[in-house]
Amino acid sequence: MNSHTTSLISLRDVSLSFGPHQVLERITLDIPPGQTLAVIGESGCGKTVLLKLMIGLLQPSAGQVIFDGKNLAELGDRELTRQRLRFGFLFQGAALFDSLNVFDNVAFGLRQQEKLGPKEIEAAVRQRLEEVGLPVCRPLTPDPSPPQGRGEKMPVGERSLKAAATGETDSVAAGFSLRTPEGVEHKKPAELSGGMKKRVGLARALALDPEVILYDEPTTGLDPIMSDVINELILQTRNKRPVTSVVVTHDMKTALKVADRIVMLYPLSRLRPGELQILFDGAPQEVSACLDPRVQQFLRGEAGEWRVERGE
Amino acid sequence: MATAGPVRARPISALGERAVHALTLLGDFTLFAGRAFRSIIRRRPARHTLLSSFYKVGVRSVPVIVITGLFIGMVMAVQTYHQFHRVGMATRLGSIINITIVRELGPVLAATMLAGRVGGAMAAELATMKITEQVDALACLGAQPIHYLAAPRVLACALLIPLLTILADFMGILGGALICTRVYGIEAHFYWQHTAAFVETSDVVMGLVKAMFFGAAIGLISCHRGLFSQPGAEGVGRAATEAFVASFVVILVLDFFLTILLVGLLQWLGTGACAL
Repeated sequence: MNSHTTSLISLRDVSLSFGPHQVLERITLDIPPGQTLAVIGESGCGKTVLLKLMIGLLQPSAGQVIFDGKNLAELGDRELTRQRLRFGFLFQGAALFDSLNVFDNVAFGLRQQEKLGPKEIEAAVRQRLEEVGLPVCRPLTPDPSPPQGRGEKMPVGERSLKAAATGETDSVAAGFSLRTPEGVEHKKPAELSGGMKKRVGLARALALDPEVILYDEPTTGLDPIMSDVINELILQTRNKRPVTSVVVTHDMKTALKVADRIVMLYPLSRLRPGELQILFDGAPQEVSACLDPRVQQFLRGEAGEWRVERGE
Repeated sequence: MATAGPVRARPISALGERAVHALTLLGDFTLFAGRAFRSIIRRRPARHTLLSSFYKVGVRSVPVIVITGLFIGMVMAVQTYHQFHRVGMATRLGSIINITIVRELGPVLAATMLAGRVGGAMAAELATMKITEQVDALACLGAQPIHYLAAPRVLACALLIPLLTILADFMGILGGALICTRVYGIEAHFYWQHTAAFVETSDVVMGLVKAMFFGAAIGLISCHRGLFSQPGAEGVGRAATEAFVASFVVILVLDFFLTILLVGLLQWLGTGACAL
């Protein structure tokens, strides 16, 4: 059986260089639907670049990135945008739009689609914010009537939004009781803490009901408790909907907690000749048994003699 | 001896690198400009992005244009009065001041103010959005960054700069007239009569056409510098500086070539009309 045919995302011999600096070399990776993959590795080894290749924000210097059978490099702007909407991306610094408040940030993707009315968007935003533990205080007049003129034509991806809009889900029902003065929807990103930014970023990534969620260092810069909250949210998101997830992290606790599979990348500059950049690819329970000292060193989080000897 | 070759070759290779870099930048900019124009033609930018850009570019530029326009007119009057007065042609000042303002000073002044006030800020804003991954986030949420960020800004610069130029022209004319008629005591009737005799509609239109090109150039250069900035605070600062410097240089270069082109066009139209 060809693994490519069952993969949702497939990287085939992908290399990427920025000018003379090569970051990735001949990476081959297949991610089946529904899997939660954690990509681990030290800073600068190309983890974030790998995520951006998967969603077509970067184009490989060589090789192919295939998403759902389509080579992203061969898609036109419009089709690439359409495919990107099947992804949700939680950026490292959340990348919330500075000029917009929390509500408008989460609503941004929905408004771009121009498929839902203001009330449906408001309900969907409310639901997403409540899902990530940020109750809103803005009073909402529930409008149970379905949007006029859409009916059966609504795509699959919008069903949960519609459900939210019509108050059919538990979380929306719970949301009405969670109306508190601490609601964040009017706040600008600059007024939020790091953990809240990540949660709003996650709400925004979930807003379009994506099939794939890409998490870039979701717990970096957060305290241990907030890190665990984010880990729980990742697990909760996976349990609620049949998503494929790729979590880029250097936090082993996150990787071991949320992933079905772990891949460890290593910086090209320190690889021995002929070695592959992926040092480990397997289940989380197997990673501690890996004999490669570099994997063990990363797991233990030690600088170690190996690096000190080279003055790094 | 072994190192003589490389050492000698270094300045040449550095020059070559610079030339390649400059050509790459020019190619990037041309592609970017093409994509921005295509985006504007294919689909009008969203109303709220347009209005926000129009406000920032147009409304907020009004005070600075009013003040600089007024003073540039007054300075023109002070600079030219004594020479003209000496040869007994002070009443002709209206024509020389006003034709200079509508043809050159108004458009260039409005463009320079726009490049300084708006261009640098736009480049810094977009560069910050880029380095904080907000531009990537836009792309992930279904908005094409060039359409969402660059198109409204370029449109605002290109469409509003003619209005700002009219304002700069008006204030310059007013400033010149105030000094000439109120301070130096030139008879207002003759001042305006000479103005009307020499300043034609084509002069004003020429200024506005040039301004539109300046505006489009400022918008494109600033957005390009912002969206392709280097990372870090230094990258943002450099993007803002480069946007202003490049815009200013391009304004003057464009001014020269557009003036040649438009003057030639006017002459050709004039001869054509005479021949008919």
